[in-house]
Amino acid sequence: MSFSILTLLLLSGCTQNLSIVHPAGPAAATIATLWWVLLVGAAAIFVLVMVLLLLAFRVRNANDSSDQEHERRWIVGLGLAFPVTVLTALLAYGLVIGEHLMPRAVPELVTVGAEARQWAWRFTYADMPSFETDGVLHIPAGKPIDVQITSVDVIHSFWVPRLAGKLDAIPGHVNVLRIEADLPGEYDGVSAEFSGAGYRMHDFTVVAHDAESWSAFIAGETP
Amino acid sequence: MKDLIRLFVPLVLWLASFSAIYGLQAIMCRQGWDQILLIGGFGLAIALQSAVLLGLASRKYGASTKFVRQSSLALGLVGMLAVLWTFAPVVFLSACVAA
Repeated sequence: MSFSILTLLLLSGCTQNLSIVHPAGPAAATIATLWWVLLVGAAAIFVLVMVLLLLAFRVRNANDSSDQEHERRWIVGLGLAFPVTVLTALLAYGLVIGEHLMPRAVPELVTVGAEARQWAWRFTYADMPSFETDGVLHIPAGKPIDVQITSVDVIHSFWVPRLAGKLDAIPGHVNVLRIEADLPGEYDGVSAEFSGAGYRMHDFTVVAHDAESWSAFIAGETP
Repeated sequence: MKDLIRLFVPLVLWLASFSAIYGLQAIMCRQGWDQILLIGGFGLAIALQSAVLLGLASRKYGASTKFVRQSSLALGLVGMLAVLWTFAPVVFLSACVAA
Protein backbone atom coordinates (compact mmCIF):
# COMPACT_ATOMS: atom_id res chain seq x y z
CA MET A 1 0.00 0.00 0.00
CA SER A 2 2.81 2.38 0.94
CA PHE A 3 4.39 1.54 -2.41
CA SER A 4 1.20 2.61 -4.22
CA ILE A 5 0.90 5.85 -2.23
CA LEU A 6 4.57 6.66 -2.83
CA THR A 7 4.15 6.00 -6.54
CA LEU A 8 1.11 8.26 -6.76
CA LEU A 9 2.96 10.98 -4.85
CA LEU A 10 5.92 10.73 -7.19
CA LEU A 11 3.62 10.80 -10.20
CA SER A 12 2.10 14.03 -9.02
CA GLY A 13 5.42 15.64 -9.91
CA CYS A 14 5.08 14.64 -13.56
CA THR A 15 4.16 17.31 -16.07
CA GLN A 16 1.88 16.20 -18.86
CA ASN A 17 4.26 17.12 -21.69
CA LEU A 18 6.31 13.95 -21.42
CA SER A 19 3.87 11.83 -19.45
CA ILE A 20 2.94 8.34 -20.61
CA VAL A 21 -0.09 8.42 -18.30
CA HIS A 22 -1.56 11.33 -20.26
CA PRO A 23 -1.93 9.65 -23.66
CA ALA A 24 -3.07 11.73 -26.61
CA GLY A 25 -3.32 8.98 -29.22
CA PRO A 26 -4.41 5.35 -29.62
CA ALA A 27 -0.93 3.78 -29.38
CA ALA A 28 -0.04 5.79 -26.28
CA ALA A 29 -3.45 4.95 -24.74
CA THR A 30 -2.80 1.24 -25.25
CA ILE A 31 0.61 1.55 -23.59
CA ALA A 32 -0.83 3.63 -20.73
CA THR A 33 -3.48 0.97 -20.08
CA LEU A 34 -0.74 -1.67 -19.92
CA TRP A 35 1.14 0.53 -17.46
CA TRP A 36 -1.91 0.88 -15.19
CA VAL A 37 -2.65 -2.84 -15.36
CA LEU A 38 0.94 -3.60 -14.35
CA LEU A 39 0.90 -1.03 -11.53
CA VAL A 40 -2.42 -2.12 -10.06
CA GLY A 41 -1.60 -5.81 -10.52
CA ALA A 42 1.85 -5.48 -8.96
CA ALA A 43 0.45 -3.47 -6.04
CA ALA A 44 -2.31 -6.05 -5.43
CA ILE A 45 0.15 -8.95 -5.52
CA PHE A 46 2.54 -7.06 -3.23
CA VAL A 47 -0.26 -6.50 -0.69
CA LEU A 48 -1.30 -10.17 -0.93
CA VAL A 49 2.27 -11.36 -0.30
CA MET A 50 2.73 -8.98 2.64
CA VAL A 51 -0.55 -10.14 4.21
CA LEU A 52 0.46 -13.78 3.78
CA LEU A 53 3.87 -13.00 5.26
CA LEU A 54 2.27 -11.44 8.32
CA LEU A 55 -0.12 -14.37 8.66
CA ALA A 56 2.80 -16.78 8.42
CA PHE A 57 4.25 -15.35 11.65
CA ARG A 58 0.98 -16.11 13.45
CA VAL A 59 0.71 -19.75 12.38
CA ARG A 60 2.23 -22.46 14.54
CA ASN A 61 5.04 -24.63 13.20
CA ALA A 62 4.12 -27.61 11.07
CA ASN A 63 4.74 -30.75 13.06
CA ASP A 64 2.67 -33.54 11.66
CA SER A 65 2.39 -34.85 8.13
CA SER A 66 -1.02 -33.26 7.43
CA ASP A 67 0.42 -29.80 8.17
CA GLN A 68 3.35 -30.48 5.90
CA GLU A 69 0.98 -31.58 3.15
CA HIS A 70 -0.99 -28.38 3.69
CA GLU A 71 2.20 -26.30 3.37
CA ARG A 72 3.16 -28.14 0.22
CA ARG A 73 -0.16 -27.20 -1.36
CA TRP A 74 0.49 -23.55 -0.51
CA ILE A 75 3.97 -23.67 -2.00
CA VAL A 76 2.83 -25.34 -5.22
CA GLY A 77 -0.31 -23.22 -5.49
CA LEU A 78 0.95 -19.76 -4.61
CA GLY A 79 4.66 -20.38 -5.17
CA LEU A 80 4.42 -21.98 -8.61
CA ALA A 81 0.93 -22.04 -10.10
CA PHE A 82 0.11 -18.44 -9.21
CA PRO A 83 3.29 -16.83 -10.71
CA VAL A 84 3.08 -19.05 -13.79
CA THR A 85 -0.56 -18.02 -14.32
CA VAL A 86 0.19 -14.32 -13.81
CA LEU A 87 3.26 -14.38 -16.07
CA THR A 88 1.41 -16.32 -18.77
CA ALA A 89 -1.47 -13.82 -18.70
CA LEU A 90 0.95 -10.88 -18.84
CA LEU A 91 2.89 -12.47 -21.70
CA ALA A 92 -0.32 -13.02 -23.68
CA TYR A 93 -1.47 -9.46 -22.95
CA GLY A 94 1.93 -8.06 -23.97
CA LEU A 95 1.97 -10.06 -27.20
CA VAL A 96 -1.54 -8.93 -28.14
CA ILE A 97 -0.55 -5.30 -27.48
CA GLY A 98 2.64 -5.75 -29.49
CA GLU A 99 0.61 -6.97 -32.47
CA HIS A 100 -1.86 -4.13 -32.00
CA LEU A 101 0.95 -1.54 -32.16
CA MET A 102 2.46 -2.93 -35.37
CA PRO A 103 2.50 -0.44 -38.27
CA ARG A 104 0.14 -2.26 -40.63
CA ALA A 105 -1.19 -0.91 -43.91
CA VAL A 106 -4.30 1.20 -43.27
CA PRO A 107 -6.24 3.79 -45.30
CA GLU A 108 -5.17 7.45 -45.05
CA LEU A 109 -1.71 6.50 -43.83
CA VAL A 110 0.75 9.40 -43.79
CA THR A 111 4.46 8.65 -43.97
CA VAL A 112 7.20 10.88 -42.59
CA GLY A 113 10.91 10.40 -42.02
CA ALA A 114 12.87 11.14 -38.84
CA GLU A 115 16.64 11.36 -39.16
CA ALA A 116 18.59 11.72 -35.94
CA ARG A 117 22.09 13.07 -35.47
CA GLN A 118 24.13 14.40 -32.54
CA TRP A 119 22.08 16.33 -31.40
CA ALA A 120 19.29 17.29 -33.73
CA TRP A 121 16.33 15.80 -35.55
CA ARG A 122 15.52 16.35 -39.23
CA PHE A 123 12.09 15.41 -40.53
CA THR A 124 11.03 14.67 -44.10
CA TYR A 125 7.57 14.19 -45.63
CA ALA A 126 6.50 11.63 -48.24
CA ASP A 127 3.81 14.08 -49.42
CA MET A 128 6.44 16.82 -49.93
CA PRO A 129 9.61 15.09 -51.16
CA SER A 130 11.83 18.18 -51.30
CA PHE A 131 10.72 19.63 -47.97
CA GLU A 132 12.27 19.05 -44.55
CA THR A 133 12.03 20.55 -41.08
CA ASP A 134 14.54 20.67 -38.24
CA GLY A 135 13.40 20.02 -34.69
CA VAL A 136 9.69 20.12 -35.51
CA LEU A 137 7.67 17.27 -36.97
CA HIS A 138 4.37 18.22 -38.59
CA ILE A 139 1.59 15.64 -38.75
CA PRO A 140 -2.17 15.67 -39.33
CA ALA A 141 -4.29 14.98 -36.24
CA GLY A 142 -6.60 11.97 -36.30
CA LYS A 143 -4.66 10.08 -38.95
CA PRO A 144 -2.18 7.22 -38.56
CA ILE A 145 1.42 8.27 -39.22
CA ASP A 146 4.31 5.95 -39.99
CA VAL A 147 7.57 7.51 -38.83
CA GLN A 148 10.55 6.00 -40.66
CA ILE A 149 13.32 6.44 -38.13
CA THR A 150 17.04 6.34 -38.81
CA SER A 151 20.30 7.91 -37.69
CA VAL A 152 23.36 9.28 -39.45
CA ASP A 153 25.85 8.78 -36.60
CA VAL A 154 25.19 6.85 -33.37
CA ILE A 155 22.08 5.14 -31.99
CA HIS A 156 19.37 7.52 -30.81
CA SER A 157 15.75 6.83 -29.89
CA PHE A 158 12.59 8.54 -31.12
CA TRP A 159 10.05 9.02 -28.33
CA VAL A 160 6.91 11.13 -28.12
CA PRO A 161 5.48 9.76 -24.85
CA ARG A 162 1.94 11.11 -25.34
CA LEU A 163 1.63 9.65 -28.85
CA ALA A 164 3.40 6.26 -28.87
CA GLY A 165 6.19 4.12 -27.50
CA LYS A 166 9.86 4.68 -28.25
CA LEU A 167 11.87 3.22 -31.10
CA ASP A 168 15.60 3.27 -31.77
CA ALA A 169 17.16 5.29 -34.58
CA ILE A 170 19.94 3.07 -35.91
CA PRO A 171 22.59 4.11 -38.46
CA GLY A 172 22.11 2.32 -41.79
CA HIS A 173 18.73 0.91 -40.81
CA VAL A 174 15.14 2.20 -40.93
CA ASN A 175 12.72 1.39 -38.10
CA VAL A 176 9.04 2.20 -38.48
CA LEU A 177 6.91 3.54 -35.62
CA ARG A 178 3.16 4.11 -35.91
CA ILE A 179 2.04 7.28 -34.10
CA GLU A 180 -1.26 9.15 -34.05
CA ALA A 181 -2.54 12.27 -32.29
CA ASP A 182 -6.24 12.34 -31.45
CA LEU A 183 -6.39 16.14 -31.43
CA PRO A 184 -4.45 19.05 -32.93
CA GLY A 185 -1.77 20.46 -30.66
CA GLU A 186 1.91 20.35 -29.78
CA TYR A 187 3.51 17.27 -28.28
CA ASP A 188 7.02 17.07 -26.87
CA GLY A 189 9.47 14.47 -28.09
CA VAL A 190 12.88 13.42 -26.83
CA SER A 191 15.70 11.09 -27.70
CA ALA A 192 15.49 8.22 -25.24
CA GLU A 193 18.96 6.80 -25.89
CA PHE A 194 22.07 8.35 -24.36
CA SER A 195 24.23 9.71 -27.16
CA GLY A 196 26.91 11.87 -25.62
CA ALA A 197 27.35 15.38 -24.29
CA GLY A 198 24.34 16.99 -26.02
CA TYR A 199 21.91 14.21 -25.16
CA ARG A 200 19.96 16.23 -22.57
CA MET A 201 18.91 18.81 -25.16
CA HIS A 202 18.25 16.30 -27.93
CA ASP A 203 14.54 16.97 -28.12
CA PHE A 204 11.93 17.96 -30.69
CA THR A 205 8.29 18.96 -31.03
CA VAL A 206 5.46 17.27 -32.87
CA VAL A 207 2.83 19.66 -34.22
CA ALA A 208 -0.48 17.96 -35.00
CA HIS A 209 -2.57 20.00 -37.44
CA ASP A 210 -6.30 20.02 -38.02
CA ALA A 211 -7.43 19.12 -41.55
CA GLU A 212 -7.39 22.68 -42.86
CA SER A 213 -4.00 23.52 -41.41
CA TRP A 214 -2.51 20.26 -42.67
CA SER A 215 -3.76 20.95 -46.20
CA ALA A 216 -2.09 24.35 -46.03
CA PHE A 217 1.13 22.75 -44.79
CA ILE A 218 1.15 20.16 -47.56
CA ALA A 219 0.48 22.93 -50.09
CA GLY A 220 3.69 24.56 -48.94
CA GLU A 221 2.09 27.42 -47.09
CA THR A 222 3.44 28.47 -43.70
CA PRO A 223 1.89 26.24 -41.01
CA MET B 1 32.92 -35.55 -17.54
CA LYS B 2 30.07 -37.27 -19.39
CA ASP B 3 27.77 -36.54 -16.49
CA LEU B 4 28.70 -32.86 -16.72
CA ILE B 5 27.76 -32.88 -20.39
CA ARG B 6 24.44 -34.57 -19.57
CA LEU B 7 23.71 -31.76 -17.12
CA PHE B 8 24.55 -28.76 -19.27
CA VAL B 9 23.51 -29.95 -22.74
CA PRO B 10 19.72 -29.32 -22.40
CA LEU B 11 19.98 -25.64 -21.48
CA VAL B 12 23.00 -24.96 -23.71
CA LEU B 13 20.94 -26.40 -26.57
CA TRP B 14 18.06 -24.06 -25.67
CA LEU B 15 20.52 -21.14 -25.55
CA ALA B 16 21.93 -22.04 -28.97
CA SER B 17 18.41 -22.47 -30.39
CA PHE B 18 17.37 -19.11 -28.99
CA SER B 19 20.36 -17.37 -30.58
CA ALA B 20 19.75 -19.17 -33.88
CA ILE B 21 16.03 -18.24 -33.99
CA TYR B 22 16.88 -14.65 -33.04
CA GLY B 23 19.52 -14.40 -35.76
CA LEU B 24 17.30 -16.17 -38.30
CA GLN B 25 14.51 -13.65 -37.68
CA ALA B 26 16.87 -10.72 -38.33
CA ILE B 27 18.21 -12.24 -41.56
CA MET B 28 14.73 -13.36 -42.66
CA CYS B 29 13.25 -9.89 -42.22
CA ARG B 30 16.21 -8.25 -43.93
CA GLN B 31 16.05 -10.61 -46.91
CA GLY B 32 12.25 -10.69 -47.11
CA TRP B 33 12.07 -14.46 -46.64
CA ASP B 34 8.85 -16.19 -45.62
CA GLN B 35 8.02 -16.60 -41.93
CA ILE B 36 7.64 -20.34 -42.49
CA LEU B 37 11.43 -20.52 -42.04
CA LEU B 38 11.05 -19.31 -38.47
CA ILE B 39 8.32 -21.85 -37.78
CA GLY B 40 10.60 -24.51 -39.26
CA GLY B 41 13.34 -23.37 -36.87
CA PHE B 42 10.90 -23.72 -33.99
CA GLY B 43 10.06 -27.27 -35.12
CA LEU B 44 13.75 -28.13 -35.40
CA ALA B 45 14.40 -26.79 -31.89
CA ILE B 46 11.60 -28.98 -30.52
CA ALA B 47 12.99 -32.01 -32.38
CA LEU B 48 16.53 -31.46 -31.05
CA GLN B 49 15.33 -30.86 -27.50
CA SER B 50 13.17 -34.00 -27.70
CA ALA B 51 16.15 -36.01 -28.94
CA VAL B 52 18.24 -34.82 -25.99
CA LEU B 53 15.43 -35.62 -23.56
CA LEU B 54 14.98 -39.11 -25.00
CA GLY B 55 18.75 -39.65 -24.94
CA LEU B 56 18.95 -38.64 -21.28
CA ALA B 57 16.09 -41.03 -20.48
CA SER B 58 17.67 -43.95 -22.37
CA ARG B 59 19.92 -46.60 -20.86
CA LYS B 60 22.57 -46.08 -23.53
CA TYR B 61 23.08 -42.32 -23.11
CA GLY B 62 21.45 -41.60 -19.76
CA ALA B 63 23.38 -41.26 -16.49
CA SER B 64 23.94 -44.27 -14.27
CA THR B 65 23.74 -42.46 -10.93
CA LYS B 66 20.33 -41.51 -9.62
CA PHE B 67 21.20 -37.88 -8.83
CA VAL B 68 22.64 -37.06 -12.27
CA ARG B 69 19.88 -38.99 -14.02
CA GLN B 70 17.09 -37.13 -12.23
CA SER B 71 18.84 -33.76 -12.50
CA SER B 72 19.60 -34.11 -16.21
CA LEU B 73 16.03 -35.22 -16.95
CA ALA B 74 14.68 -32.27 -14.97
CA LEU B 75 16.97 -29.92 -16.91
CA GLY B 76 15.89 -31.60 -20.15
CA LEU B 77 12.26 -30.92 -19.23
CA VAL B 78 13.08 -27.31 -18.34
CA GLY B 79 14.88 -26.95 -21.71
CA MET B 80 11.80 -28.27 -23.53
CA LEU B 81 9.47 -25.95 -21.63
CA ALA B 82 11.83 -23.04 -22.35
CA VAL B 83 11.75 -23.84 -26.07
CA LEU B 84 7.94 -23.99 -26.09
CA TRP B 85 7.55 -20.86 -23.95
CA THR B 86 10.04 -18.62 -25.75
CA PHE B 87 9.66 -19.81 -29.36
CA ALA B 88 5.92 -20.52 -29.67
CA PRO B 89 5.08 -16.86 -30.50
CA VAL B 90 6.90 -17.21 -33.86
CA VAL B 91 3.93 -19.29 -35.02
CA PHE B 92 1.25 -16.63 -34.49
CA LEU B 93 2.99 -13.24 -34.22
CA SER B 94 4.17 -10.94 -36.99
CA ALA B 95 7.92 -11.35 -37.31
CA CYS B 96 8.81 -8.39 -39.50
CA VAL B 97 7.85 -4.79 -40.05
CA ALA B 98 8.20 -3.51 -43.60
CA ALA B 99 10.27 -0.32 -43.70
